[in-house]
Parts: sequence; C-alpha cells; structure tokens
Amino acid sequence: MGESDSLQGKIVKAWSVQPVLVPLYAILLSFIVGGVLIAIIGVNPFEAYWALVRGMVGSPDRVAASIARSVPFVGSALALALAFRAGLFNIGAEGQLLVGGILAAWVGTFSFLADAPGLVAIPTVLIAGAFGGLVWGGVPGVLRARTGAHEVISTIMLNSVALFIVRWIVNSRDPVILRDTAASVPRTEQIADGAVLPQLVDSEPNLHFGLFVMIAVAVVLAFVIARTTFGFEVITVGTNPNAARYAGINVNRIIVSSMALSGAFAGVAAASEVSGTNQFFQPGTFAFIGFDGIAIALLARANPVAILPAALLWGSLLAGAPLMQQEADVSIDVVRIIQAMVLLFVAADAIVRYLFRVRDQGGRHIDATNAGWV
Amino acid sequence: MRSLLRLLAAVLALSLVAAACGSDSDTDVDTSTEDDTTEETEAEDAPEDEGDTSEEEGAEDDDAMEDDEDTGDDDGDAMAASGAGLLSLEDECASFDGIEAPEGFTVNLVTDIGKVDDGTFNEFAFEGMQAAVECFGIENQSVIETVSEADYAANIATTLESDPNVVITVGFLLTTDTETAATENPDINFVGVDQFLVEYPDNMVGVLFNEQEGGFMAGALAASLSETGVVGVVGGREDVPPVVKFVNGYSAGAKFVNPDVNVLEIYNESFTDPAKGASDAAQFIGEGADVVFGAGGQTGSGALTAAAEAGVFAIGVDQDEYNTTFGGGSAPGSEFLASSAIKRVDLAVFRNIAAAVDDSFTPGPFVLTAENDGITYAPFHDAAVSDEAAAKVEEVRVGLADGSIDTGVCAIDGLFVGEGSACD
Repeated sequence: MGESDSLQGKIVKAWSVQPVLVPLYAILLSFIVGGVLIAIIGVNPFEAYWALVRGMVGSPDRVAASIARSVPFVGSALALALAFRAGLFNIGAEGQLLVGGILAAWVGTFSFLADAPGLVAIPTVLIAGAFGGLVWGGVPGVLRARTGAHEVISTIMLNSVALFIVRWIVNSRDPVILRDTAASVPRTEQIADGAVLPQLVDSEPNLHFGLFVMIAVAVVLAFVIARTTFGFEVITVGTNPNAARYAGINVNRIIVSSMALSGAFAGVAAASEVSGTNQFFQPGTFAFIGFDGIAIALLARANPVAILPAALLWGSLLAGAPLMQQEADVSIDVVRIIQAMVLLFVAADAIVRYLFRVRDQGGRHIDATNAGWV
Repeated sequence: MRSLLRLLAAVLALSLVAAACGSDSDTDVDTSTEDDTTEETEAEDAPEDEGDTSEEEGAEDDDAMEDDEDTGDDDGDAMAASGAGLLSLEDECASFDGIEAPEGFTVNLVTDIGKVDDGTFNEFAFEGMQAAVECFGIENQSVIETVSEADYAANIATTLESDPNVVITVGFLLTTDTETAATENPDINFVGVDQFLVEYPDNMVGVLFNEQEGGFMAGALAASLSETGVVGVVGGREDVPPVVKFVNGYSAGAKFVNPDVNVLEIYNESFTDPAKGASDAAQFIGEGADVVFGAGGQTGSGALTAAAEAGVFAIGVDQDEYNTTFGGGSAPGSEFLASSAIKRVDLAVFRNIAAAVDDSFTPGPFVLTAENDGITYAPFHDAAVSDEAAAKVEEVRVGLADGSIDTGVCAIDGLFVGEGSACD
C-alpha cells in the first residue's frame, strides 16, 4: 500500500518503534498550524513564538511559574488516566477538584491545626482533599457498578452539582458558611500557617512542594498499574470486563475503587493548590483544570509517568501565552488552538493505525485511551 | 467496522473536548464554567450585561459609533433632543489640549475573564485606553486578556515586565492582586476598575460608581414616559449593594417626576436567569406597567427583551444595551429600548491615564458620578421618546450633576437616607 512512504505511514512506523515520537510530531505539526494561523492574522509567527517561548522559559522565575501552573494538571490528568485504564471515562475531575479543594480549605482552618507542626497539618489537609475527591469520584463509580448508570453522564452532571454547591458555600453571605467576609472577593478563610506547603520559588504563580507530591503520586500510580495485583485487575477490567469477570475478578469492586481513587488524585491536586498556592479556596481558580486533564491524559496515552511532561507542556503554554499577547498582540486563544491540534493529531494517529492495519508494538498502554468507554 | 466507528466516535468526543478546551463561549462545558465565573464577577458587584450578544454587535457597531459621535459633537440643546449627555472621548481629549506623553510612556491593561470586545467593562476600559493612547501620543500599550482566575496575579506580573507607567486592571476579582502589585511597585500607577478598598495604596485608583444616580435618571425617564402611572424594575440580588442603589434610585427618580407613580420592584436570586426576568416583566406589564428597567445582569436583560417584545418601554443598565442585548437594533423590539443607565468606565480609564501623563494622578476611589459625566443615560436610538420626556431626563441629569437634585439614596448600601441606611 506504500504507507511507509506517506507522512502518516512514517509517523505510524515511528510510533510503533518509539512511542514518544508521535506526540512530538503532533506537537510540531500543531505549532506549524498555529504559526500559519498567526501569520493569517497578520503577525510574524516567529516573533509570536519567540515571545511565547520566553514567556514559558525566559527566566528562572518563568520556568518556575510554568512548572507551578502545570502541577494541578498532573493530578487531574492522573484522575483521568487511572479511570481510562479501567475502561472508564471520568470527566468529573472538574467537580472532584472542587470538592477536594473546599474540603481541604475547610479542614485547613480547623483550630487544632493552628499549632500543629507541618508534618501533621500538611498531610491532614492533603488527605482531606483526597477524601473529598474520593467521595465525589466514588459516587459515579458506585452508580456505574450498581445501576449501570454511565459514568460519563453522572460525572459531568456531578461537575455542575459540585460547582454550584461549592459556589454557594463560598459565596453565601447569609448564612456565612465558609466565606471570608473580610476579603473583597468571595473566597474561604486563610488556612493555618502550619498547613501551608513549603515554598520553593517565589514566582507568579509560586512553585511549591506540591510539585513533589504530584510527582510522587504519578510514580506510585505507575508502580501500582505495572506491578500490583490491583493494577493488573484494573487493566484486565479495562481491556475486557467480561473476560475479567470470567477470570474471577470482582469487576464492580474495580470500577468503584478506580473511580474513587481517580477522584482522590484530583482531590489531592486541589488540596496541594489550596495549601501551596493561595492558602485559601476560590472556586474560579480551578476552572478548566479538570477538563484540560482529559486532554493531557489522552496526550500521555494514560501513562502516569508520561503525564508529567504532557502536563508541563500544557501548563507552560498557558503560563507563557500572556507574554505572547503582551508583546506580539496574539490572543491566548492561539495557544488553546495549538493545544487542541496536538490532541487532534494524537487522536488521529489511532485512526491511521487502524486504517493501515499497523500492528501496535509500542506497548499495551495504547488501548487504554479508547477502550471501554464508547 | 465496529471498531472504526468506535474510533470515529472517539475522535468526535475528542474534538468536543478540544472545543471545550478552547475558550469559545458557545459550548456547553464553557457555559457551565467559564461564563458563569464571569457572571459571578458581576453577581458580586454591579449587575452588568453579560454581552452575550456581542457577536451580533459587530455588524451594527459602526452605526452605534456614529450615533455616539453625533451626540458627542452636537451642542446641549441638540443633545437633549437626541437623548444623551454623552461626553465623547474626543471632546474629553480636547479638554487636555497640548498634553503629550513623555517618550517611552507605557500603558498596559489586564482584563477580567473575557475579551476586549465582549461588551462588558473589559471593552470599555480598552476603549478608554485606546482613546488615551491616541490622544496623548502614548508610545507603548499592551493588553492581556485573562482566561482563568488562576492567572490574575501572573498576568499582572507579566504586564509589569514591560516597565509600564500605568496598569489598568478590570473587575473586582482582581482587587487583591492589584493592591499587592501596587504596594510592591510604588513607581507604577494602578487603576482598578470596579475595585473597592477601604484604604488604597498611594499609587492606586479604584473606579467606583454612583449607581443610585443612574437609577434616578432611569426612574425619571420611566415616569416621564409612562402613561399608566405604573413603572417596574427587575433587580438582581438584594444583598448586592449596587443593585439596591439602582432599584431605590429608580424609585426615587420616578417619584421625583411624578409623586403618584406606582413603582413595582422585584429582586432576584440570580443574575443569570433571563427567563425569570422575562416572567417578572410580564407580571409587571399585567399589573399595568408600561416601562420596565432591568438592573440585574442577564436576568434584567431578559426583562428588557420581554418588555420590548410586548411593546412596552424598556430601560437598560451599565452599558448601552441597544448595542449588546438588542444587537445594535437588529433584535425585535429595539424601538422600545428607551435608554440605558450607563457607567462610563471608558471615561474613568481615560481620565486616570490622563492624570498619570499629566503627573496629577490622585490615588483613592475614583467615583463615576453624574457630576463628572461618568453616570449618564444612553442615546434613545430608535425609541419614540417624546421631547418632553427627553427634556425631563436631561433636566434631572443636569440637576444631579450640579447638585441641585439629591437622590436621597445612600451611596454605601443603597437604602433610603433616613430609613436606617449606612449614611444616617
């Protein structure tokens, strides 16, 4: 068929040899498309990209800010990745972040934490966040396992439920629930000093210890998936639930626990943001973190370790875009388009592989993205 | 074949996701998050129009601009006839005759979530900045459009990297970040639109509004237009002071013109419920109201649309809703939008940049009032407003401006003075 001569053929070949290359091609291609777009609106794309790159990594502070902007995306993408592996499409990270975040912020203001050492206070806040996400992710898991309610529907609905409850809790003045009435914007009160994650770089946004928390979570998840019985069961359920059931795996248990654990990842991410970045909870700061997590998880092919660079790319593009607008007058929407194109090209690769009957030699992580949830 | 379908479905889903990732406000996902966040900005403070019809706005924009210029260029009597004491930025520029910005002068703008053409304060602040840039020959300007609340501080930090002389930030959600940046950069002047602080840093201005005066003008116009002697106002949340200021100002203004007027008032729990606003308007009309003032974000705009479609006069708020809610005259019932009680954010931004150029920047609250032309009413456009009513509202505007008329409404909480307001 001569597919090895075509560009797609080459990409597919490269993918089967070296899975990292396809996303790289996709990124390159997206930037080219973005560059054409920028040129169409009458700006020199090289100038725009130069500003973008300087916005991302132009100074030590900017590098730190880019990393800091990426940290919460790791958690939300992990929330997607684990669910993908179990054949579930958890688009509820947005809501799980909110519930985890507000719980962390609430627990962080408990009076017994005021004098507690960081070693007690910080884990307490992080666990509170994880618990919030766990509950909010677990509910659709239970609904799926018990009633067959599709998790795509229930998670996206629960996003709205979470958003409006959380907003009421934070905004309400009568009665005052968690609102800091002294602040000029609706947000919760400052958490105890002891519960604040140690700061690494005073950039904007500031880089804090949450980075290591998220890396650790990613590595642990990678280990769990690759080396534990639970991980094996998750993948088996994700690949073929019927076969899993036949093999004696309790499929419902896996569905509930992987959804709950997914939610917990989002919850930890939110707690680390609350504790490390703002020291209070403001619902709007989490807008789109969960939805972007979907894209990052797909880009990383639901591989927990690959999520780290994917999230870094995502976050630093967002962190760099304002400078591009300031210096080249190119809207941040261009970055959004580039991100969407990356995703599209990565996704299109799956079609290419199907059409050309290319055997996947890249490893088992490929099926994770499209198994089970269609 | 099945798996091909699956893959196609996957791609479809992905493109949905991708669409959701872009900040295009057409998608459902967006509506549930970003747009609502923007709305929250408004819910908290002034009820603003969401600018949800801003796409339609473009086509008719030129017309609207011409209208503005017309009214601006005309003299007093002509203005009364055409329906506005709208001070044009060109005229304002002329009053600063001869002032030139020093070489390398830089003005930067950081918007709230949204765009510089979204029909909200973002757009007006941008227009004010553009006019100042042109007027004073300012060399450098730049804009950062915020996409997430997580980016406020970062965007201000980015904007500071170009060593600006003036930084404008839009929206009360940026209050704290603007204050912090102002404290850390004492040599840069900051202008915070819709940002209230008890105590401002020495290099920061907070642009605030005398909503009660805008409400008063709307009320005076309503009472002048009304033939039934019944007028209505659909407000947003009662726990938001600017809403109360508008509503009580409206009531006071209507009674100023006609002491026997019956003012129907309703507050709403939400700023984003046009359907509720529409049913409120229908209710008022059923009770005999023939003018409806909408002062509650999209809820209020819903009331306007319903009233205008029912052939009853409507009065908009914050911006000239002829250009936003009524799509520059393209929406049905545009001929019934009598006017809007508007806040001249563009003027406030322009004047503060002028002050910075002129070395007369005065920190603290910068309150837009009828006196400084910051609170006024929009042109009547297509509405058949009688000369009498037009003269009346202009008379009220002038009276408020020169202090001969007092609204009797407290500027702090919007309650009537003498009835337990914060001003007593």
